[in-house]
Amino acid sequence: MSAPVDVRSTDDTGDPGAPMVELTGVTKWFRGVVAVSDVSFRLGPGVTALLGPNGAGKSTVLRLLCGLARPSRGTVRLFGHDPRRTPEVLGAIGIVPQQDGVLPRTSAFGFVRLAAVLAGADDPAAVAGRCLEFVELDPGDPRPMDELSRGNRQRAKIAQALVGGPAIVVADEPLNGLDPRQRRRLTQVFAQLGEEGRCVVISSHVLDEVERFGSQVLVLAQGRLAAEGDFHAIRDLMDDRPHRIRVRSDRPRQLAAELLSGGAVVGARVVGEDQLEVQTSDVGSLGRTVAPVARRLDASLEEVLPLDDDLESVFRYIIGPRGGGS
Amino acid sequence: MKALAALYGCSTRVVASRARTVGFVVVGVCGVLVAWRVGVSSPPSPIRAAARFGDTFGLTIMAPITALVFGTAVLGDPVDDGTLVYLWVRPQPRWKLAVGALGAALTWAVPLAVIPAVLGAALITADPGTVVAVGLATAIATATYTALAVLLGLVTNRALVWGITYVLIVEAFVARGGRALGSLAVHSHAVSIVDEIAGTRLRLGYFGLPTSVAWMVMVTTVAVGVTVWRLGAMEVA
Repeated sequence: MSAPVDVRSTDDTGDPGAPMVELTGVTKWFRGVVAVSDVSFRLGPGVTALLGPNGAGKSTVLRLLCGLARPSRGTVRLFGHDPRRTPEVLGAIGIVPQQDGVLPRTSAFGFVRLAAVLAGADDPAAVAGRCLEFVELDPGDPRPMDELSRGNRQRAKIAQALVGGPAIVVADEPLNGLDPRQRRRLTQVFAQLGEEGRCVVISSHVLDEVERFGSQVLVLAQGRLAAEGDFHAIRDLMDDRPHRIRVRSDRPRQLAAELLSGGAVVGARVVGEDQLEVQTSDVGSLGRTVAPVARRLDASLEEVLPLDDDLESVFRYIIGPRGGGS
Repeated sequence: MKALAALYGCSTRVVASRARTVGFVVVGVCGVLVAWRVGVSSPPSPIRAAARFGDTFGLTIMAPITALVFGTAVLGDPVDDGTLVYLWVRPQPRWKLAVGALGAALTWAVPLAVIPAVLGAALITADPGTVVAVGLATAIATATYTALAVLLGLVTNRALVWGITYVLIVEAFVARGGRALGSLAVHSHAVSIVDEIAGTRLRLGYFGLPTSVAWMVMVTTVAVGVTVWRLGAMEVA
């Protein structure tokens, strides 16, 4: 892939110091129904995962971000430009829409070449060939796209988003319909695009794969931005939710009693003969306490593992019945 | 020009359909057979008979229906199936998308409407002026209807229903209410072109040739202009 597009160097009407993507107080309603409410965030280079349950407003946020929809209130800026008023800035975006529809009677090569022509590529056929090979599709495959498997159509959609080396790549559920190998490959592709300095925004509900993209997340719940940032940091800030830690030891009952009496944990549950699951609101304190306690009890300590420091737990906490706060 | 050509090519594939083409070819063949029957029956005024055939078959049936079918589909189908996003989210001026789409719809609609109308007129009369008049009027009317249909396909997802309703009410009914009401209809301006060139006096032929041509060019231009504006202002799924 070519170097990222520097929109700032091609258009002098925007703020040169502006972030790549900036939404400020964006609200969108459709016929009185609020889809997105007062959402603000700024994005720079790297991969950001947009998470949320169905109906949370993920696709609406992505459409607003690309200028496909107009905010009812608030502003959307890409490199300081309003994408609806400055069509030139659309050249900096590559979009992978969620819908499965494809242009009729068009091969994957024709589809991507069309995108390259419209993006202003000097040699559209060569660009199309490179982008298709990048997603491991055969540029010489003459079959129309509606005869391809869903996974291959998805890859062709990703290939067309990459023509012109967009600085911003927006993908709405891009891993849908892909087999596990393709998912792994495309996860690598998106991570690579982020490492190249592009702003990559991906909506997904497949949390374990999103976790592989990186740790930056935007969590939407009921049209509002419920959390933003590194999900490990978000988890640490959730003081009202005790962390669950698994401890493996040959004397789990004694260890549980000692940790409880010392106040290092707020709950403990023995699981099997050699496992203990404890709950603590202060992971650091537990880390400092557990080894000395085990030594004092002459107990082995084989594993101390956080059980809810993954994205799924954070996501579940945020959008759960008691979640929803920033 | 590369982008315009690419948009035209893409839009041509969007509206290409064997069912649509075969359907209109069958209707066209039927029209030509009717014209042949009229021609062999030795009508008292072959020129007037050919002009009436052009009015009834070319301008009343083929021009509006081919325009509606191809015009409403060329942007309406991409809007409905969500593929418009691939054309819209590119740094291209909107007029290229509108003009490319109109050109693609015309590529299909004009030949399918004009060829049977011209063949039919030629089977009824040997007068070249009348045949040219029928062909020219059908072509211009098809172009005007198509520009309106492209716009209609962009603003409503029931464009075909609304278009047929418009044709039945305004073009086939209101236009018969005299010169003032007729000035609102594409049909009466197209009939005026046939009248002026062929020298016939058909019903609805209220206007002179320059007026009719200018009016249809203006309507086509305004429809394309509104389509361009609409493409810029619309929200894309």
